[in-house]
Amino acid sequence: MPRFTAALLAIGVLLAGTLVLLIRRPVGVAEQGEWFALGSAALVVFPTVAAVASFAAASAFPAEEAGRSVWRSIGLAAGMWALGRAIFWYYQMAHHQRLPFPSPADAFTLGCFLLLVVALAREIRVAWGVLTRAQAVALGALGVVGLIAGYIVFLEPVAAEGLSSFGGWLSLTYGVVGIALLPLCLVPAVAYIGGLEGYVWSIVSAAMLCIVAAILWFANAIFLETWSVAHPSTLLQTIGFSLLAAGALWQRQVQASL
Amino acid sequence: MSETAPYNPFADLGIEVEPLIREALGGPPMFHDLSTDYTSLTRLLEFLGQRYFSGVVSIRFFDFDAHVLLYRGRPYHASSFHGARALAQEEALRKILDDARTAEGWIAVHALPDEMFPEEWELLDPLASPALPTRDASPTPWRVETPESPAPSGEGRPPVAASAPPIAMPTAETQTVAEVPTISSDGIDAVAAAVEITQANASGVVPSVADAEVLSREAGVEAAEAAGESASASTLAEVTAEAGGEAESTVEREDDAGAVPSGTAPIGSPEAWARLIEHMHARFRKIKGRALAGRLERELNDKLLPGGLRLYGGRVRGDLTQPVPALVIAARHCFAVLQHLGGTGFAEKALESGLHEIGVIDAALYRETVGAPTAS
Repeated sequence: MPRFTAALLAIGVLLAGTLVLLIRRPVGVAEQGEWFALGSAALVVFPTVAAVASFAAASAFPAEEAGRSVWRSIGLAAGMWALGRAIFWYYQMAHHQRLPFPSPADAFTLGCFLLLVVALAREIRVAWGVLTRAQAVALGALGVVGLIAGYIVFLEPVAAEGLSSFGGWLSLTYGVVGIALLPLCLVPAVAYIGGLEGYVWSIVSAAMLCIVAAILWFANAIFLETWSVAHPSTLLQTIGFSLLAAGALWQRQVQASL
Repeated sequence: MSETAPYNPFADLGIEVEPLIREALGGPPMFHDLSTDYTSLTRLLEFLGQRYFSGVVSIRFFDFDAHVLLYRGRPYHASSFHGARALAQEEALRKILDDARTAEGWIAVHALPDEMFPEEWELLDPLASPALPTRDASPTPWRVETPESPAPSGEGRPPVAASAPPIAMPTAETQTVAEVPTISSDGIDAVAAAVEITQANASGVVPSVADAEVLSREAGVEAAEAAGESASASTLAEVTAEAGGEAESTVEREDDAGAVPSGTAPIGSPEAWARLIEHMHARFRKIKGRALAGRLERELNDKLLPGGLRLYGGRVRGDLTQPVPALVIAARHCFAVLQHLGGTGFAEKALESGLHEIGVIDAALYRETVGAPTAS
């Protein structure tokens, strides 16, 4: 079996197994503890897998090409996310209570977002120029609609609590940056539509959608103190990083097939 | 079971023909489903002979199949199975050509790279057939040598000589085999030339070959699209020039190529350049998608049209028998766009694989001409 197919299959099996275990709602303290351990492990493992796959994609590009720095930045972003989640997990396990918000772990989460913005900015530097006017307008409109929808669903409750605290501003920043990532991801997907790179970036866009929705949901829950051990945003993050890993592997395969 | 075992000259040299035929038939055909009602097999074989074609021409008749195996334009093997009787070589070729004139059949042409034929093929004699015109033992050249340096000799290509006879386009009148000197290298025009165009079809519309109509229709659609295209959608080269400083120098260099120095001819055969453009464009389409590939196609056509050529359906159409500077300009533009939208690595790989596919030995000259960085 080709290595690319084997790797995709492995990620699929890992994801399926994780979802099967996490989809059940824990009952009782013991089950909650198990669920949390499993969920936290998934939130470290899957971003790590995505980071490894992204670095593998980066290595497939020649040294001087933009693609290498794009995928390297994505790999670093996923790695930082995994580190942040590991800190969050350790604190929870060691102190039997969730990490206060904001915390040092949020530095890694914020770093992840910033690296993703840097990566996408590099990627769309050329792709944006080949968009037609209609495509550019559609993506811009999507960004605006996403911002409005994201604000209504996730951010308005945060804003309603008052933005007097640093945590409030951090939540708002997560929300705005995360929502802005979505149309940015779609630029190369739309620009290269019908081509192999278009498919790769479509998968990356789907991954970003899951991750951004998860983080908005998570940050919203943390800020409003409605977060629980078995919060569904965990599943969404797991799916998102699996898609990111798959997209990275496919990018590597595309480069190898050139 | 055959009544008589046909003579097999290949057996003496230990050459197996069937694997070659199977290999050819297993690949996608160059032409397919050409009815013998409007296609002259004789003219088609002549056309393939002019192009030094290697591969299999298969004919599917109602009650039997036939194959003609060509190597560098000459038939070396023919086989047909008529019920219990199998024919081979000259006898089979005669029967195939006769039946193609009288019986309804469907012709397909499958190419094979020259490298698949063992060296022992050089020792064989081609089939003799009075229906097919003989070719010179020393094939006439196809490339044009520049005054300064000799043209690169492609792998598997015949040697280049200094002059080539002028090429006459076929007229709409009925033509016999003896009257037609050579045929345009354009695939569609060649098939049309193989079709017996009668006085009744003097308008040039070829029955069942809809490409000519499609071409004219597409040209009208593209003209309308180009007129209505957004002003912000500049050429791919201009966009890439804006994207980075190093792009500008390449774009300028590419634009400079528009003025080919007077008194010189482009390096390489026109067909080689055409195949290279097709290959790079196909790679671009595969990776970057239909939309961008369509735009690149339009930009390449802007470069090709002054030379009477056009990229359509992934193939460069037009007369490729004379050197066309527009091909080099288009190739440089294609490489520049690949380089800046896909990266230098992508563009170089597309160029290298294209040069490998067309069998170019001295790739350095082509690389230098399109503006590729010097290979380390």
